[in-house]
Amino acid sequence: MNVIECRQLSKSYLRKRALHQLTFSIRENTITGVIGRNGAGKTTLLKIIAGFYRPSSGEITVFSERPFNSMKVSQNMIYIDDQITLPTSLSLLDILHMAGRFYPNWDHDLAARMLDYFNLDPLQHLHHLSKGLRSTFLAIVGLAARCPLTIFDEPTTGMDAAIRKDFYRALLKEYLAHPRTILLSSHLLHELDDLLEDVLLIDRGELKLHLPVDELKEYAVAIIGDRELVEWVIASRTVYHRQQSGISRYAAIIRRDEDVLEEARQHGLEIAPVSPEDICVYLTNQTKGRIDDVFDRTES
Amino acid sequence: MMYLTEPSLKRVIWNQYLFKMTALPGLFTSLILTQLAAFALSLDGTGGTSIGFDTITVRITHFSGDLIFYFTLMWAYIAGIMLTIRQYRNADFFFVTNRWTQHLSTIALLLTASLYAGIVTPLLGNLLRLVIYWSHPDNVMTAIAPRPGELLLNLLITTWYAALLSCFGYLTGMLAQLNRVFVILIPALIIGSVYVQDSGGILTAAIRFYAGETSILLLSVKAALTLAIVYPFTMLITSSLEVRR
Repeated sequence: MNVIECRQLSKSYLRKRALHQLTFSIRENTITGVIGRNGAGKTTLLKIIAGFYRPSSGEITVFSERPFNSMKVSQNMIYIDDQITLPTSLSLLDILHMAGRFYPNWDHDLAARMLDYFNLDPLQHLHHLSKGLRSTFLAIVGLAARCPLTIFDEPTTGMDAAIRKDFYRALLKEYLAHPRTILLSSHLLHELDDLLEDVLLIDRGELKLHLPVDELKEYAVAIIGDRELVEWVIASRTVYHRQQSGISRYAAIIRRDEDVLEEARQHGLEIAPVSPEDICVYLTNQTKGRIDDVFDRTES
Repeated sequence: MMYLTEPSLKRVIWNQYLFKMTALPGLFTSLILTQLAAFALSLDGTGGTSIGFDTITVRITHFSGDLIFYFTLMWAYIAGIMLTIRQYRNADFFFVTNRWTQHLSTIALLLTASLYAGIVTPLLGNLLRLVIYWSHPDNVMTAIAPRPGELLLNLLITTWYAALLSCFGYLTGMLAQLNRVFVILIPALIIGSVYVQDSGGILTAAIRFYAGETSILLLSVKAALTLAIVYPFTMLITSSLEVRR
C-alpha cells in the first residue's frame, strides 16, 4: 500500500519555482531519505506532504486524503524540524505530556528513558537548550509519537557525531519494533546509507531519482586510467563527473553499462564502484565548473 | 504494523484548548498587570470640579472603575491580535490540528479570557470604591455600595465587550497575517475615523451600535450575532493560510 502518492506536484512562490512536476509514491513502512542540496526543495516537499503548504498544481494524497487541512493526516503524522518555537512557559516534560494527549500511539516511557539517556533535564525549557540538544529532544518526540507517518526534516542539525549515531540507532530499533513510514531529509547521504531503504533525490525542484539504496550502489561506475583511452571508451555516454588526479590517472563516472565495462576491461582500464553518496553529489552538481575555477581565472 | 487512528474533532479541539490554556499563562497575567496599572491610575479620581463660595470651596471628585474597564477592553483587543502571530500558530501545528480546530480552540480560549475579564473587572471596580472609602475618611461619599444586581450586570457587559474586542483583534491580526498592507491600513482606518467629526465614522457608528444599547438582553443579542458573523468570516478568509513557514 502506498502512504504517499504525488502526481505532477508543483509548487511555486512569487518568483521562484520550488518544486516542478514531481511524480512518485512512497510505500507503507519504508524509510526513505529525501536527499538534495540546500534549496533543492526538500523542505517544501515535506511540508506539502505534512499539509502545512498547499501545492500550486498537481495531485498529492497522504493516507488517500489531500493533506492540506486534513485531520486524519495531522493525527497520524508528526513533522520534526529545528525551526519550531513552542511556548516558552512549557518545560520539556510539559511538552511530552502534551504530545501524549495528542498522539494516540505515544510512548511516554520511551520518551522519558531517552530523555534520561541523553541527560536532558525534564524540567528544563526548550529555548534554553543548545542547538544540538534541542534537535535531540525534538527527535525524541518524533520517535515516541509513533506516528504511522514520521517526517524528520534535517533532524541531526547541530548534533555531535556520538548523538547522531545514537539517534540513527534509536530510529532503526524503533522502526523495527514498530514499523512505520519514515521520511528523513538530509543534504548528504553520508552516514545514512545503512539506515535508508529508498532514496528520493531532488535537485532544483525536480525529481532526479527514486531508487532503493541497493540499486543506487550499482547505479554508476568509475572508469579510471589514461585520459584519452577513458574518453574513447566512454564516448557518447552521459558522464556525471570527470576528474584528473595525477598525470596518468583520469576518472570518469558514468551510468553502469555492461558494454562499456566489457570494453574498459579489454583495454585494461580500472573499474571502481561509486558510493551512493558520491552519485548523489554528482547528480546534483549545479555549480559552474569547480570551485577551483573561481580562483583560477587564467586557465580556461 | 501501525494502524491509522480516526480523529475525533471534539477531542482535538479540547486538547488544543487545554494546550493553549497551559502554554499561554501570559494571556491572564497580562490582564492582571493591565488592571493593576489602571487601578493605580484610578486612585486619583477620573475627573472633578471645584466650586468656590466666599469662604467655602467644594471639591467634587469622581472615582470610577471606568479606566479599569477601558484598559481591559484594550487588553482584549491586543490579546486577540497576539494569538494570531505566526509563532503561536506554528506551535499549534506541532501537535494535531487543522485550521478549523485551531481557530475553534483559539476562539474558545478568547471567550474564556473574556469571561475571566468579565468576572475580575467589576470586582476590581468595587475594590476601588472600598479603597477610596478607607483612604478618604473625612469626605462625603455617595454610591459606595453596589446596587443589587449591579455586579452581575457589569459582569455580563464586560464579558460581552471583551469578547467583541478580542474578536475584532483576532480579525485584525489574521488580516495582517494574510497581507502586510493591513498592518498600516487598519490603524489608519481607526485613527482616521476618530477624526471624522460628523457621525460618518465607522468607529463612531460601531460604538453607537453597541454602547448606545440600554437593554442588556439586546446587547447580548447584538454581541452574540457579531461573534457569529466575524469569527466564521475570519476562519473562511484564512482557510488556505500556510503554516510553519
